[in-house]
Amino acid sequence: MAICSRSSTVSSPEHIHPALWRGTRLARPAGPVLGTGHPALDNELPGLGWPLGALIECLLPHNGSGELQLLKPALQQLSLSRRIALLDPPMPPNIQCLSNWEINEQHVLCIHTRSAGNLVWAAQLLLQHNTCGALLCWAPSLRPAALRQLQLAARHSTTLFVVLRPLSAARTASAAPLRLALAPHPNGLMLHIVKRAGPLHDRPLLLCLNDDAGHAFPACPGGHPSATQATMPGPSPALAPSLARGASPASSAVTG
Amino acid sequence: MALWVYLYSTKATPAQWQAMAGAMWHYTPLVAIHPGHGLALNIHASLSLFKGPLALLHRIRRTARTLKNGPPGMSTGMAPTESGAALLAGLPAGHPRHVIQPATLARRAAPLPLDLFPAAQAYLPWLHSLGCHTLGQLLSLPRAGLQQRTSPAFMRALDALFGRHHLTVQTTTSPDGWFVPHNRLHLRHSTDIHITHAPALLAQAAPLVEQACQWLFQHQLATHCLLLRLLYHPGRHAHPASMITIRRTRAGWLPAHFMALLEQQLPRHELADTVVGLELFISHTEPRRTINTSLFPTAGQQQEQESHVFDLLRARLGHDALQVPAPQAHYLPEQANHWSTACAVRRSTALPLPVLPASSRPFWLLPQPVTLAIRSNRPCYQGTPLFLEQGPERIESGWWQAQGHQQRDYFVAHDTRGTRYWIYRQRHGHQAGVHDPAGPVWFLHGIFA
Repeated sequence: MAICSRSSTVSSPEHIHPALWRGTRLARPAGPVLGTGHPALDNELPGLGWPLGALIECLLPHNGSGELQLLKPALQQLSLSRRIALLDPPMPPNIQCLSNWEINEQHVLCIHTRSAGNLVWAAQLLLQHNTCGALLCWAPSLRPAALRQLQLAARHSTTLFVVLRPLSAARTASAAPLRLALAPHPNGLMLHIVKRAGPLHDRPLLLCLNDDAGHAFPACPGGHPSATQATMPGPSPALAPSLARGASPASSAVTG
Repeated sequence: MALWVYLYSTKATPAQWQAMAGAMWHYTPLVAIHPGHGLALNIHASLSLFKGPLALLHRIRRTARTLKNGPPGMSTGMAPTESGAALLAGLPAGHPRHVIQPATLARRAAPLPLDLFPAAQAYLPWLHSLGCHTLGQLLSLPRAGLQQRTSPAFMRALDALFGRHHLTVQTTTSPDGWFVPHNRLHLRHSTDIHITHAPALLAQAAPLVEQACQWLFQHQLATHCLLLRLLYHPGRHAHPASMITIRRTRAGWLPAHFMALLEQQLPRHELADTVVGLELFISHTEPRRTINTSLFPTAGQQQEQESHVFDLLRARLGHDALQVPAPQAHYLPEQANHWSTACAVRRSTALPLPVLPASSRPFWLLPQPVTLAIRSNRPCYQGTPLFLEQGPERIESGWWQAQGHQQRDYFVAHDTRGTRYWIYRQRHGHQAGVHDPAGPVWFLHGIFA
């Protein structure tokens, strides 16, 4: 009997402790999980979603790489009942866009800390009191020790805690259990999972994000001679000849 | 039977009445301000403490005279009713203005003309036509007939004047009700050591905050704001005292409520000189909320904790560190996208935002549009050309004004990396025949994220 149970333990060692996982499979989630809203990404994450109460690192080449589009479904869901805090956003967020995305803008809060020390303090405070449903933190420079502190503070909360850092930080080690490197793509977002509790993620994942129901405004015609000569709305006869003069015949066509 | 003292003046400001009411609080807690003309004190319960009505009246008059910011040209009246005291106080000098017995009041009031009784103003012509010119004649009219021909309010006023009904013993006819003094506290503490470093003030301020919170606790009060005044080393080159405001969104009464905020606030504060003393003020208080006794945490408790966290953030990061959306009804996106540093994070009552397609607006909106370079007739951002994708969407504003007229054609553009931008072309020379020789001007206004 003892030999039998021992052999089953050896054959499936992941059952010894919840923190153990096989290198070839995804780990079991340590805490609550929230679906990302992107099925292709869900399948690549332990627990099939964003881990709550854990540090998630998003590595961006520059602001506007599709990072908010990636988080949009989760933020929509969380903003219904809890606050969403944006810590040190690089630019003012557009309230109209929040409303367009069906994120409850009344629950969104911007906090400007002006220094890395204050940023870590503010994030820790918000995590320890479990004040927010989601905490997005723009941190261009953070020491590994600060990341470790944040990861420990996050474990006491049920917050979706995302730290957005420059792509150059991918080379340094981090305490975050989940690290994603993002890159913009004409069709959406190219995503590479740098670190996860599971096997190595070898090929980048393409998430199609621009699948909103139709475009808001007419697309610029593909064979348009020049960007500066786009369709003029409304009758403006006085402008038409002047525009024709300003446009260069040699300019290249608009490409998608 | 009650006894009232009325202080009468027609030249006093509301602030002076407030000051006078605060001073009279010493003699009785039943003080009522009658806006415009006077202050009524119900002194019935204070008579034995202050050794009788005349001694008390004497003290009241002396206090009123010596009060620095009290009302000018004041006269006093004393009567068993509030209206009676007011009536007597308004009489010109020479008339006896102080009575104690109701019968004396009726006797003194009898020869007074009806014009002095405010409630009778509406019936004056009719009463004069009856040959009724004084209060005594009014009292001798048959009550039933008077009741039939006048209003209930008139009868109530008449009864209140002569105390014929004892309903008004504990009530006042003042529209503002009884005067409630502002609760204020002022504490002072000389530091044991001279302090040159702001965080060291924390230990010195702790006993003051503790004392203030004890005072709040005893009076069942809470406050939003403690004012801490730092007194610098005196001398010829002494610096003026500086203030630290410890502010809470929700009124607090526990030392921990305020000390946590002060701890975060002190490192930001720079001392001008060595601190030798501290003063603490509480200027506004409010009744304390009852403590929740339910077993499970309620929404109110969560809000309380949330507001405490936000107060801590404000204390350390500055008052403008927290911003909440406060969208404005404006055509220009940069003006519509307003984030306010409102003290309380509360639900705004603004109009709902327009419903637009999800991809029509960028997530990041630049506070000020950035001019884009133009290379081979194409707008460029950071050296990479931008390709138009969607548009145009025209946004105009201010055509009805001489200045601030903006005509913009917005486009969604992308660069070679795939990042999408919200750019616009400024339309110049919209008048017929006029054209800007510099060509169209492109601006970057937002980044899709």
